[in-house]
Amino acid sequence: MKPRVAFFDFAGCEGDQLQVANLEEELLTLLGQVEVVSFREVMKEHSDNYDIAFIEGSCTRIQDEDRLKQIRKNAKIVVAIGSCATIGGINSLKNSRDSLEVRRTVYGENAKLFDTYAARPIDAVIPVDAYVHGCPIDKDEFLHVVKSLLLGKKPDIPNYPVCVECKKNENVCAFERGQNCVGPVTRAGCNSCCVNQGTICWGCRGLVDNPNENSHKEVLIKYGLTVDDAISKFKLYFGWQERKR
Amino acid sequence: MKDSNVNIEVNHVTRVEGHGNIYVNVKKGIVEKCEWNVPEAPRFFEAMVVGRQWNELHHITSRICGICSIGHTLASLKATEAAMGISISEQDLKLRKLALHAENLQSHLLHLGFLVLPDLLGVGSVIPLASSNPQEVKTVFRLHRTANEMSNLICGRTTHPQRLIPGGFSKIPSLRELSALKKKLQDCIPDLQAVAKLIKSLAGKLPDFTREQSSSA
Repeated sequence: MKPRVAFFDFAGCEGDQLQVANLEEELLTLLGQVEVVSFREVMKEHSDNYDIAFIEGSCTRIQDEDRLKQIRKNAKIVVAIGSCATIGGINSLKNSRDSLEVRRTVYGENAKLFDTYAARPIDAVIPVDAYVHGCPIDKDEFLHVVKSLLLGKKPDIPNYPVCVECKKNENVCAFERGQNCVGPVTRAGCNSCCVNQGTICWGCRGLVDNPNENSHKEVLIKYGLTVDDAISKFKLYFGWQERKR
Repeated sequence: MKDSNVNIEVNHVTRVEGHGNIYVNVKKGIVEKCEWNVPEAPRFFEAMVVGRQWNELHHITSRICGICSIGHTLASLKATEAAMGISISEQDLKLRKLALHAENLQSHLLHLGFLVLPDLLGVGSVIPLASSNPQEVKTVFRLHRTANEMSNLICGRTTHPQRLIPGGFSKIPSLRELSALKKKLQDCIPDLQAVAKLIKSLAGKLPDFTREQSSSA
């Protein structure tokens, strides 16, 4: 029997599920190997009987924890896809501000109608078995993770910084261009895709397991940037990870 | 309709971006309940951008929606540029228009081919269509891929674009790449015509829906 897979989304933009749709012809090949039983963005049918659950988005409300716990109960394997699910991502930008103030900024006197707590990754609520990093995820890496899981193998995810890939790609260093980049501490695996396009590494794949802080500080000092400049950039994606450290 | 009873509970609407529920209750022709319920978690973007730098705002607000991230990026860039009195070159404006067209093309194909077509052919998703109507699905996939290649070329990525920055572009496609794209788009015309013909042939299956319009509309 083919493994049964389901897709779920929490607070996020659904851009990671779009990358699955963007597999196009390869999606048809994938569908030969698995049976999709729930995927709200794409299909009408739904079943609670699944082996692998892919979860996109952060948990931002206490009431969403029950839904996550139910998914964990139903699934043998839980995979977090995209920055919001793997590290909290851009959603955690609001975590450093007062929750009521955040709600008032957007909803004024109706603030209390809109529940929220500190945005967090899925593994802050339930155990997660595998991660597909990135904002958005890379569809080839998604396929790699799915293939590994189907073969019962541990997916091979880099644990070195983006700078390694960036150097191989012979990019001019973003710091040399006068910009503030978080590549020195961010997990590689994206092939430095943003710096290749002339921008910076924003940190969407999260911190490497053991970031070299001293070396990062040296880089900042060399280019006349302060620790506050770095912390400000960290807030874009690492809000939750930094809070835990 | 006068004496009809209707009880609709759509818990949640599928094949759309975002979460929505519909509850309608009609007793003997009288509407007792008609609710559009949005249960998804709010994101608070207006609060997220407070205190951030001008060159990060488009990157943040792009994340409002992964399906139309190019549109959100362009809207944010327009706001940032208006606030700072920056005007962009005619070439950059043209390239931005191409970026928007690429996303529209991708989005419309996704909507028609992946989301609407299953309804018109009486199935729950594009997945069974891949075996019942393989030619049609392959045509849609082929066009969808070309639209994505167009986004990729102009924006450096299809979702959450990178090259679009305040003041213009961080990188632009070469003339040779643009010429190749033009040729590719021209070659799409027969496929596009096939999709248009297919949807037209099924148009009778769309429900006969008329909206009561208020005079102010």
